[in-house]
Amino acid sequence: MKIVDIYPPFLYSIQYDNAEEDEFERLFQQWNDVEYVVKFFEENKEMLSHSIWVNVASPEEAARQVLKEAEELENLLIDLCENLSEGSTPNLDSHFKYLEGKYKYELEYVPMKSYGPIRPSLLRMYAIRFASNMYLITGGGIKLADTIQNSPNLKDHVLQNIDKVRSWLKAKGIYDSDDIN
Amino acid sequence: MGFNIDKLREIAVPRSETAKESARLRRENREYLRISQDIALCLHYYLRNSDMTQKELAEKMEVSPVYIGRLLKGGENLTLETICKLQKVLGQDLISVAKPYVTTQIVSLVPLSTQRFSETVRSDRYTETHTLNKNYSSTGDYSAA
Repeated sequence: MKIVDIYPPFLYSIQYDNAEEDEFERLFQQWNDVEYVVKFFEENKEMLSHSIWVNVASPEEAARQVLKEAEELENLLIDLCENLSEGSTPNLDSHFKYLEGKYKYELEYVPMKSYGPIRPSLLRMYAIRFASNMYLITGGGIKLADTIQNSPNLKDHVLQNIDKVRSWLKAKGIYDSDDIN
Repeated sequence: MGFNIDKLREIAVPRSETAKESARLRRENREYLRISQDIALCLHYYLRNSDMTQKELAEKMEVSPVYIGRLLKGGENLTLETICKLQKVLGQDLISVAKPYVTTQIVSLVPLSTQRFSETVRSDRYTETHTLNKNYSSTGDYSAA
């Protein structure tokens, strides 16, 4: 596992062992790959019948939203970092939201989430907040359900990876804390 | 106790050259990538609804299945020739070109019922006019006109 500069000193990404790319790059490559996105919706078509997706008629229509959101989200994150380097707003703190659930009362290594720009958004990026406007991307994916646990491609790795990265950061001494739990 | 930014700077590594290049291409080529992705979405839709396989499409297009696979990913800079060939093979529109110069109807400043309009030679009656002129020429008698 390693930390990769995306837009230092504001935005970083984890690159997991045996992964070819860091998570930031992997996600944007995946979300721009029409083949991958259409196949994802074909495999999870029944989840699009949920009431919040009532207007989605085909996998291609849902895929088009992912492509659009991916383009806008990547531009937005870079724009927010550029704002920070110029001392202006909005910035990363105004974009990332707290990932509550089991992390609700955490004060260090705080897990955060980022939505795509369209509501309801199909995309999520997850991160650990080091300090104000300093984030480490840990993963993400297309989210079709109300919770991570109910989302087919998120439930098996998002929270597990966040926990793994938090432990690794502690071992590296990147956050001087006695207790990360 | 708190966040150790010096430690972060010490262990963070630069983005790989491949990732930098990939991100640069996404940003610089965004305009054509949007169109390429829209075409790829159409291809997926038409293939599924016509039950045509990627292999069959490749055979009809006389290209390799690998190339069709690349088109379906939405990252190719397609030529007009390729787009037209795809449209012909699929029998479907993939890309429509704007025609801002076309008005919804032909507007004339002169009322259609005027003499001037009736005197104009209509191109769709060329054969008839041509035949009449030919007859006049053969007799040399133009007074009947």
